[in-house]
Amino acid sequence: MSEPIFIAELAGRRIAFAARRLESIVEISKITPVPRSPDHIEGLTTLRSQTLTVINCRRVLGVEDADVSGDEPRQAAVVKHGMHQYALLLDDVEDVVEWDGETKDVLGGVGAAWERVANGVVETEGGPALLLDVEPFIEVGLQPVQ
Amino acid sequence: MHLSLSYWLGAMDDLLSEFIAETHDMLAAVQEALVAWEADPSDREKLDVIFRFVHTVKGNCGFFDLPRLAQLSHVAESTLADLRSGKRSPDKQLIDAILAVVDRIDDMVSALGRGEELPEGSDADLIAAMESGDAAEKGGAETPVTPDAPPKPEAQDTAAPSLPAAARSIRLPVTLLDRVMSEISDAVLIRNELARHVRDHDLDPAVAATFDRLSNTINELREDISQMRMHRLEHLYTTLPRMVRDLANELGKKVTLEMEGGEVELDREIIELIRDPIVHILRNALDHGIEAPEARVESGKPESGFITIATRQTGNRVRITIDDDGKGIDADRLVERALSAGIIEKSDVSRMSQADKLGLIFEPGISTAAQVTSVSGRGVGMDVVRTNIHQLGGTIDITSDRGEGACIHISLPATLSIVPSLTVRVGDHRFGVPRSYAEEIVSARSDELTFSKTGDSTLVEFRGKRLRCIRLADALDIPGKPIEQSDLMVVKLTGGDLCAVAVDKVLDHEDLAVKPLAEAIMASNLYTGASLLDDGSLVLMLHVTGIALQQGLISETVRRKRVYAVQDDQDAAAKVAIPAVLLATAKGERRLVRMDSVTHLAKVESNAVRLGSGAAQVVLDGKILPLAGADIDAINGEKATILMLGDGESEIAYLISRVIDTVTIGDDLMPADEQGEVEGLVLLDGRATEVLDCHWLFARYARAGATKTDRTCVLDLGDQWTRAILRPLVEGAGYRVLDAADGHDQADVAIVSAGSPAPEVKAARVITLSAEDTEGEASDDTVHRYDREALLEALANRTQVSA
Repeated sequence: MSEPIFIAELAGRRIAFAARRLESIVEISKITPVPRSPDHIEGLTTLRSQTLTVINCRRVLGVEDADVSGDEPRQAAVVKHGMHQYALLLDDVEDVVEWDGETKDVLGGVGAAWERVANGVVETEGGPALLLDVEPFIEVGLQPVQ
Repeated sequence: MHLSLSYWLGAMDDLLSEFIAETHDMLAAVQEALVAWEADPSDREKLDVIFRFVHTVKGNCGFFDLPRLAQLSHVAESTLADLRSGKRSPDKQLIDAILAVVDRIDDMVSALGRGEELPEGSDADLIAAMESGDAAEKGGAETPVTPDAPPKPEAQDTAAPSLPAAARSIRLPVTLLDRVMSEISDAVLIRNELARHVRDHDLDPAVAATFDRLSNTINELREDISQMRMHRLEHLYTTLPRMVRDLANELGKKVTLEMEGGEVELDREIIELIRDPIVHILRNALDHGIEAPEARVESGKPESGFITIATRQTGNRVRITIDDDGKGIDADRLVERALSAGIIEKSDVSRMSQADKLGLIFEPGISTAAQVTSVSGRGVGMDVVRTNIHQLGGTIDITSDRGEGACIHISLPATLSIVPSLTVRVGDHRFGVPRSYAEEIVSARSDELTFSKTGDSTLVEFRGKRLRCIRLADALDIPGKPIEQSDLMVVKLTGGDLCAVAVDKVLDHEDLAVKPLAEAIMASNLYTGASLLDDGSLVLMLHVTGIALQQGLISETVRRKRVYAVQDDQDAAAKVAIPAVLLATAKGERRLVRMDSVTHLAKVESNAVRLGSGAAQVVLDGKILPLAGADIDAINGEKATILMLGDGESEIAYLISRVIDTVTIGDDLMPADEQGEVEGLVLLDGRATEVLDCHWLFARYARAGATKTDRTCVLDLGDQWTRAILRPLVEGAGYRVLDAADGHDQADVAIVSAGSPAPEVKAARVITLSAEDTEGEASDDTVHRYDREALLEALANRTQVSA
């Protein structure tokens, strides 16, 4: 059972998302900041008159922000979750490849933050990549509502 | 020849789709009429609606080759005609048959609408059901109508009043509407780009004028298209009575559904999104809430249950409450289930308030249905409902009185709808504010304003009014201009209070189509959503009430509905729970104060407080107020937290170090040994905790010279509930309470419990408290014991004692 996965780079690692979870890959140039929103939310952006919530994946993982100037276009994966669309900021995008469905355990040493988002290690032509879930990036610190 | 034939066929197609659409339109109205007619078969008007529907269907069938539909509607029409003329009387079997016919017609017409052939099958069953017990009708119904000889359309039945002329309307696929919406947005963006070019190049004035005309037309187009998306909630509500009726029949229950507020307009999309949650809640109320008729009678209720759906629009939120008078929700059973499902730990239970326990109903994997019925209890439940509502940026909560029913409150942003707004700028940010909040806009540089500071709040004097003034920049933690160089919006908050909000600049009036944002952003309670401006940029829509709350401009509205904690199933005696605030005093002691006495919380600069045990004071909002609880040497930190207590006529301040929690306490208060600041002790989570005696505080601290009320009310203070609950309420309504035991000879009002002897006092009015909720026929002077609003109203309506 093979399925396509999307390979990208995030905080110095090769990562992968299941392609079926992604709506599209976009370049974002204008982000509207949202005062007093959670730390990992970079702001809002628009795509074909839809509002996207931009998630700074590096902050979710607790690593330093990427070195980007204000207007430089940034790569992001667009994900639909619940009723809203999110753009997950990535450092670089590589390609969509076929994956045979095999995952290996994540070996220690990647840190707790990575372990929370990673599903396993997948082997691809370009080398291994960490297969990530999208949900942990979106459901950061959502307190169950009382 | 060919041309005309195809033209004729095309016209037939149009006619058919019109027939289908018309039938669907009527179906919605008929569903409602059917239910109403069943409840009251003498309701001639509803019967007429049903008759007209069937008559129209029958008449239309003549145009098309639809023998099956024609036959069915023909028999139904005859039956209904007999009902109208009184030849037959409606019995349950007949009503069910008519309902089934309407459903069958619905099925067939839907199939036609999908372009299918009419489903195979026979309607003999329904026809027989309608004709059973019928005095033999004239022939025609029994003999199958031959397809090649469709009956001629009949003339309009003269007995049927003609239908009111409706506004012309056509139907559009929703997808088309959405496409038009996004195309017009694009057109606006292109127009704006053009506008820049027009400005940059010196164009021929004629071209510029043409462009302006085009621009205005585009604006009008956009407004009209936005309006297309609005829908009245009635569209959702008309389908509910039928569903409730069918389900009640299936469950062998009786219920009346009342709906109000159908005229509220919402974005079509929101209506679609709340349909399922509302249906689910109704099914739950019927299945688990409303008891079987005999059980209701046993517990002293009318045998038919009541479900009310009320809708209200305030600002840009829509509130829907769904209230039933069934058996309520068993919080303890919820707790048991949550424990066994591992959702909570044993140790959590003691810390949970009643509201927390009821809230468990929204947890996944909890279903209170002892057995799975076809109606509910399949594990998909209120958790899904809650998720859906949250995703819309709404909230849902539940209150329930054991034995008295349950009430679900849904609050939704009407955000997808178009909100007339002001756009404002602060620093580099732009925001939208619903225009309904803004009373007035003034430049802070104007001469009519004078600013002053008290404590840490700024006041602005504006046309003789003193208003609290906040900077939006402070509220949002972003850089902005100092107040003196700002524009001020005078904002009217819920509850009618005015305050001033300073922004760098008020930019423009715009109608914004606000879309809800992700939960992580909504959770801050600062925004209701975001909207796209013409130039493609985003503005955040401000949640004015949320911001005002966070800035301490309004006090948290307290739901004061009483809740009951049930000890266990054997001891189902309801115990009153009183909402209270648990706080730490300035000295660090844990104290409780009844929520009823708390008006709001304020933070002031330490230097606005004068400490001391006797004559401590605090300057707040330009007033000097007596301060209790200030028997300390110094305040730690720059700010002091003040709890404002009110008794309806005067306010006093109480110095605290912080609010710990809001809790509910029982009325089993152990009175303190001596009169003083502490009324007594209650057990809270197993700890004896002191309760502040607000009554004593007011007597001690409220400003001397404050006129005491001259209105008196006699109560039986020997009764504990009266002492703990009723007395503060009556005093809050501005009465001086007299103890019945002291034998007063005259009072404005006396309140007695139903069944107790009449008071000996000569009272201008006697209000009787009944233990049962009277069935909607409460007189002015008989009030359900726990109906706080009705009681306050009764107290407010007092008649003057004639001297």
